[in-house]
Amino acid sequence: MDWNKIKTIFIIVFFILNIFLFLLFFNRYNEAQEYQVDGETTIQERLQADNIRFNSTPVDTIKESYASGNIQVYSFEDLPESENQTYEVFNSTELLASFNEPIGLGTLVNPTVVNLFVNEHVFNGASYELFKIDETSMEATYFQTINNRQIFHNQNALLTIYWNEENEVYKYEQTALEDLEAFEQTENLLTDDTAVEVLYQRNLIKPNSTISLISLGYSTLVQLTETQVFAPTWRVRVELQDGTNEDYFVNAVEGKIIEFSKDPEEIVEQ
Amino acid sequence: MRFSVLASGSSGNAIYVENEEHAFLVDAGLSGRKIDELLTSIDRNNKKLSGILVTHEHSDHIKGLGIVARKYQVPIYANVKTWKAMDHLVGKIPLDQRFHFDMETVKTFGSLDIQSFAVSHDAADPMFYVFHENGRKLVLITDTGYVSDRMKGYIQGADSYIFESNHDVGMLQMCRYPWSIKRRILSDVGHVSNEDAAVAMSEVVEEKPTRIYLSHLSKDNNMKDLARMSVTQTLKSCGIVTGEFLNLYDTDTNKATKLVTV
Repeated sequence: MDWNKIKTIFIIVFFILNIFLFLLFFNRYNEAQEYQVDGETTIQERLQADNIRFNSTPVDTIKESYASGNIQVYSFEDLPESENQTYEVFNSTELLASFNEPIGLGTLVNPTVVNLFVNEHVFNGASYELFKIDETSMEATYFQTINNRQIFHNQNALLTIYWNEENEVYKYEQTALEDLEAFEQTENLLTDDTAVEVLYQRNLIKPNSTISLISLGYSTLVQLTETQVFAPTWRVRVELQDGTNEDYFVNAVEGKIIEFSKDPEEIVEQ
Repeated sequence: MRFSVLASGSSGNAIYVENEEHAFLVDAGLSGRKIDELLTSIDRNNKKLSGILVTHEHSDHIKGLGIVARKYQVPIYANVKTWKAMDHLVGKIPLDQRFHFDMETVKTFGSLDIQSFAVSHDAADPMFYVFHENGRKLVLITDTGYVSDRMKGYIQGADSYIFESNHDVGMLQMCRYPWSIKRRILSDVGHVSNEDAAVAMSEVVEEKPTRIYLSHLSKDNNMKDLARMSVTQTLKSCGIVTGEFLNLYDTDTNKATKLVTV
């Protein structure tokens, strides 16, 4: 037997085998590139497929701190003297101001006129920001702010303006937090896109709707005996196909959906 | 007697205590390099250690134990059950560096008396320490599900406390941890909450200058500001106003507290 011939045959056979295996690998690789894996569909593509549109400006906040505040106790000495306003205080923490002569808002009630009224006539009005106007019940709801961020649905940081059928404000109710301060420690926040993703994955954003507003605020995390602690929270407003609006809230640190119960003391995190 | 909390939290724990003659580490739950770095930050080093006292075998208390002990030939003190539980976790420790420190006993190192006492935690035989010198008392108590009357007897009337204030119960209940973990933390062999810690503090502090270092804070279910507020308000509801004779201090997972004299 010629050992040299056997060696040559082996080299040729293995060379051919290697070429064959390489071609096999190359074909498989090319085939794999032609398929898209279901799980890799981006959230944007899925939103697009469900015809969910964005009509809100992206928010760039990356870091934010928790914050805290104490419930304000009203004292008549602190309230500004006004010939047109009569003050009543309930449970030391709820202020009711009634106008002896109701103040007109104009022919059309819109955010601009209500904001003007609040800044001009409401005690510490500048520390509140409009949440919604309900034209049917003729009232506007404001939430108190920390560093220009709203404290969502907190019964102790609320302002409600009431007007009559002549669009004249006849009273407002107010609660407030004081000693508001941010914690030293800052937290990395989930992006507003992630908040939308969380809501979408829980089927809370319906097809054919529009995300009309995304803003960062605070919601109550912990209630201590004197102090409340607030966590950064995304508010996502969704406009449905029929024109109605739904507001959702997502804890911006942990990504949990927050439901505000009608019971003022109860906050439900999902 | 002086001390510094080098690091505190579930990512690693180490406390440095010294007097004129001796220096101890209580637990070495960080890497050897990190312990070196933290000791350097308070102008101290591992070379002068008289011993490492171990509280229990959980990794956040013994992570760097074997390395530090072998590198600097430092004696290790722990009770029998803790030795058994951690033997395979710390690597080979030479026999002449292995010492027993039994539960509820006192060991004397010059003018320093170190007393051990049992805590309620899900470890083999967990215990913490009270340091006594010239009538001054330093208490270390973390990793306990509750503070029993027996523990209160040991820790009564100290000048300084390194006291666990692990979590806010509300935050823990709402967090993403699996229920089994939540149940473990809230149990009698878990960790003590801000409020429960404060109630226990109110029962053991005496009306004299007292420092309390809030320790072993949960990374996910507590914050320094929250722990301080919660403990302050609970103490107030128990009739103790912080800032009068009692002051609260923060500890950190990554930064040593200032070396202070007890």
